[in-house]
Amino acid sequence: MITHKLRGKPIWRNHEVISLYDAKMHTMDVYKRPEFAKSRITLADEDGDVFLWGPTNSISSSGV
Amino acid sequence: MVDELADYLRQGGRTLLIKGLPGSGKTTLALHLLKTVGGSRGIYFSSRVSDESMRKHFVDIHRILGEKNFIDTRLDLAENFLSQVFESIRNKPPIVVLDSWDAYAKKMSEIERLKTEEVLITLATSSESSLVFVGESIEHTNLDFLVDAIVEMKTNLKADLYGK
Repeated sequence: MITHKLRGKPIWRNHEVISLYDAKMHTMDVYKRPEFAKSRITLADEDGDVFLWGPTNSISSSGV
Repeated sequence: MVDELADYLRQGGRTLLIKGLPGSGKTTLALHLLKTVGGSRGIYFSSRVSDESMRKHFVDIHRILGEKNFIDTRLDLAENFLSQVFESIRNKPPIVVLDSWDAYAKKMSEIERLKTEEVLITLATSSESSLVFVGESIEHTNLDFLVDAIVEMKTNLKADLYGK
C-alpha cells in the first residue's frame, strides 16, 4: 500500500506491506532488514589512540 | 498506516481515493475502513459484485454490513445511483464506500464526470460522512486533486522495496 496524499497531515511512512490472507488486512513491517542484506563484517570498537584529523569545522576553516 | 488512515477519516478527513489494479486489495481495504470507521453503520455501494458473492468471498462481512447497508447498483443508471448516494448521506452514516467509482464514471461524459465528482466532494465535505472512492485506474485524474487522501494498492510492493 502506498500513501500518495493525506491533506493537512504529514506522511511519516508512505509504504506499507499488507498481507490479504483470509480476506483481511494484516500489516507487516516494511522496514525490517532482510537477513541477506545484513553485513557479516563486524566493525571494531572505537579506539582512543587512533590518530584523528580533529573536528571537521577546523578542517573546513583552514580550507583543506 | 491502515489504522492512521482510519483515524484520518474519523478526525475529519472527508474523502479518500483507493486506487489499484484488480486483486490488489482495494475492496479489502475499503471493507476494513468500513468496519473500523463505520462500525455497523457504514454504507457500501457495489457496482461490480452482488450481495451474495460478496458474502461468499468475505466471510466476516455480515458483522460489518447488514442487508440494508449493502446497495447493489450494478444495473443502475448514473442519475439513479447519484440520487441513492445523496439519500444515504442524508442519514449521516460515518462512512460511504463507492466500489467502484470508475464503473459509474465510465457511463458519464467527461464534463458530467467532472461535475459529478465536484458535487460528491462538496457533499462529503459539508456533511458528517466520509466518502471513499474505489478507483480502477492508477492514472492521475481530476479526482486526485479534489480528494483529501489517496492510497494506491500494489501487488509487487515487496519487489519495489527490496529490488527485483
